[in-house]
Amino acid sequence: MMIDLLQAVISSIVIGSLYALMAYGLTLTLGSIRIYNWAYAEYVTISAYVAALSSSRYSVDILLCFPVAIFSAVAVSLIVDELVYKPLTRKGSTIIQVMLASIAAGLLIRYLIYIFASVNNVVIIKAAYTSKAVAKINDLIITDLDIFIVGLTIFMMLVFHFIISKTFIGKQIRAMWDDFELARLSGIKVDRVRRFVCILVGMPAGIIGSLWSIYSTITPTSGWLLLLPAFAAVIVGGLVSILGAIIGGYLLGFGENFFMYIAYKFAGVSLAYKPLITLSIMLLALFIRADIIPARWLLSVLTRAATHRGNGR
Amino acid sequence: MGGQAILEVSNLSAGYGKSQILYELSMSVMRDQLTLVVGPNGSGKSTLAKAIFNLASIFSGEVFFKERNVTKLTPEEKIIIGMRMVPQLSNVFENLTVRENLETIYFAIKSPKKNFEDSLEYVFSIFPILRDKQYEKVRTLSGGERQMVALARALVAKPELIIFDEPTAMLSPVLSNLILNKIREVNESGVAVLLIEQNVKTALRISDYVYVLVSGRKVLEGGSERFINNFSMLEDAFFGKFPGSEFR
Amino acid sequence: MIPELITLFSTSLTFFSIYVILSLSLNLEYGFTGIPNFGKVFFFSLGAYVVGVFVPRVIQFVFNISEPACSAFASTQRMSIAAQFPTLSITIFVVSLLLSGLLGAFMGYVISYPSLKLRGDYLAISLLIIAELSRVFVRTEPSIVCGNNGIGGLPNPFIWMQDPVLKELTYSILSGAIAGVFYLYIHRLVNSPYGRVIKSVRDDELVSQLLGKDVKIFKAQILTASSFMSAVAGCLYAFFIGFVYPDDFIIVWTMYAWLMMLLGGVANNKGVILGSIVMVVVDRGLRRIPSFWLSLPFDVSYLRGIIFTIILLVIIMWRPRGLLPEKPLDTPARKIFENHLRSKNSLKNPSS
Repeated sequence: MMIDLLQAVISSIVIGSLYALMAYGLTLTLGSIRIYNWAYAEYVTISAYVAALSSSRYSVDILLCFPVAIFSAVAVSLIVDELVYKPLTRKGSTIIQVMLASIAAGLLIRYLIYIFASVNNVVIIKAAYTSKAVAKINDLIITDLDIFIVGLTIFMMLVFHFIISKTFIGKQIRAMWDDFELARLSGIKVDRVRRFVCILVGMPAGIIGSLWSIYSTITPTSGWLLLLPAFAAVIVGGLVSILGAIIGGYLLGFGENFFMYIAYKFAGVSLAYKPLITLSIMLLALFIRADIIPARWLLSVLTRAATHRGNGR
Repeated sequence: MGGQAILEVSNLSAGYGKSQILYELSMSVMRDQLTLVVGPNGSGKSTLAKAIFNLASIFSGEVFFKERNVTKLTPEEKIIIGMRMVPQLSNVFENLTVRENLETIYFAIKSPKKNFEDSLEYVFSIFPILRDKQYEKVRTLSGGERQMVALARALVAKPELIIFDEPTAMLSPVLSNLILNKIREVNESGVAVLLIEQNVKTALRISDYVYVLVSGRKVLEGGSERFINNFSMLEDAFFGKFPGSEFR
Repeated sequence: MIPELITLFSTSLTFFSIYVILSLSLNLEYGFTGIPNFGKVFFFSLGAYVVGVFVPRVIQFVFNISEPACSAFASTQRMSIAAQFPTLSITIFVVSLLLSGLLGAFMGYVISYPSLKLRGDYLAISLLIIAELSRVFVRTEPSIVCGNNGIGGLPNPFIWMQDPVLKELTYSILSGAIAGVFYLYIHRLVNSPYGRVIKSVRDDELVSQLLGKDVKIFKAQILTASSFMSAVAGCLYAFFIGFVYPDDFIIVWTMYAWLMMLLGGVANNKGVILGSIVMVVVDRGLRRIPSFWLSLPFDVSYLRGIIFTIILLVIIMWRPRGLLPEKPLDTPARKIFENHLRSKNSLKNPSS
């Protein structure tokens, strides 16, 4: 049973890393360009399909599939921004209008994916790579895929952090994040920086899609099902904090795997309740941020509960 | 007189969206001069600054910089040709350091890294406090220091014209005097200045020429000494009494 | 030929009524009060789930049917029993309507409190995520509506009618009547001083509060009323289709409601009617045409989806406040004002 628990921890970290990276990209887009990118899900789905198809149908080596998938994600990211998001920003649309447009754009792409998938008979597909166990402690299995996912995602996040804090274009991105109008008045070429941001966030979408095509089976809704917890993580980060979004990603990874497993084993809660756990974490974060549940009160309740148990009640 | 003007605004009508704020306004800023624009609240002073920079809707009229028609240029393009504006609010990047605030504007225009240090030296010579605080986030600075950063940003990479939109708005009288004197310093170092101010008495003393705006129209103009000695004329203009007002 | 035409009319009228109720409720929330509801399908689904949970179990309890409610056999049994007992079918329908409405209203009320403290976009995202995740939950948890398979055997209140065409026609007229009642209610509601207040809440919440209006109460009332409506629409939908399955309640319903509201014009109720008509015509039309004219290698619903998302994108990019403009409120005060204007003008032109 301890083994199962540890296995759940492993998958929590793996899934959490994916959510964290996705939430990073979403928060970056939101902060610097002020766009809620619901179409991001489809960037992931497209790259997952590209990776899966290249690998299984065209027998491309799995490592080579990554650049191809990343390229398609970046391309789609740029196209959607040029066609939909940039004109809306230029018009001065409200944030609700932008959100509506992004959901619509995402749906449009998803329908196209559906058509493509059903015509080519690949509605369900998986990349042709089976993960190999790398470490085996008793019955606990850690695969090479697990390590690769966690390593690659954390590496990407560190690269991002470096770009944003140390490079000049990173400073320009931070300036745009801080005050968009002032950035224009400072001579920052906002269109060029914007394009860079699209390329920058397109890459993790491609990586996540490729990884997911190996880790799990791909359907046209795969990206969307990953996006929902990712956005929940963004909410945990209060929509503005990258660190908060990363923490949120891991929190949700643990909620969906580790806490779900505990609830299942010790309280008999059926696995169907997984989305409710995601929802509860998101709502909790939301309520704390909106001051509906004051954080201090929550903290005192939790510490009181902990000390009660310590007193042997 | 036209030959010496670095900025010329010709019959400008502008506003926001569909509402018009400025009505056929004409004015100019001479090289090496500090030109002052005053007027009661809501007279359109800020709109003038924004319209010159194409951040408001321009209905008709033109803006000339160094005798070139720049009405339609984007703000980014105007910065590159030597125009600067320091807005009233949100004029600094709060989450960036002082140094980064200056970097972003400098490198948007010029590239050589060497000259950036020279430019920094120039800026720090005018605002010595900023030298010590250059690696701190602007968020942590006081109101007066923030305003200095805002002004410093406009000075980087030797501009030819700076428009200041009510730079003393949130400051105490002591700091206001300090800032206005600094602006005079900047002007004396060879930069043309268009100063929009509420603080009429002090601003008058540092300026060369003054325009009075009321309800989006120019109602009075002239050399500053004329009004320093005849302040009531300015006051009357604010309240609607100016040459030609009898005909309205 | 004639029966087919009548069926076409009944289906269109029923869907039109459902669409109207949904988009009127969204218009009330967002158009008039400024609450962006991106989880509209959640409240809609509540009404349908009430039917899916309550109706089969009641029928099976009363008539002692022992087979599991989810089985096809139980479904057919429920339908045949309902056909024999008109009073039962109608009573169950009425009770379901009330229960759906109450559950929706309750949820709307619950949502209203957090919606006050949250900025528009926070609220929008949260509602969207709530809607999607609850769908995922219901589709996996078999005890609600039999998981992904859904549950059938939900008898139409007029199932006892011998002629199925007549049954559908009567149901459509009933739906239309309910939609009409809601329309009148909303029309009275917004063209009144109350309507002025909620518009002021939308335009500037702070000013509204400073004027002494308790924004909390207004938002709670609006959300309760609109969620009541959405759930009733869901209930009507469930009885019409006779089948409830979770994968039906995807974000597309929410987007349809937004599209209808935008097509007609934000805060313009007559416009919403127009938008719903357009939607029904396009949606039902697109279901028929392809099988006549095209033979597509893929599911026609994808093509429908592409057309509808493109229309939505086009409208957001070119006419974000909707096609028709917002009308000034038709309050008693305004009527007096306009009469006054009219009499003033007639005095100026004695020639009339």
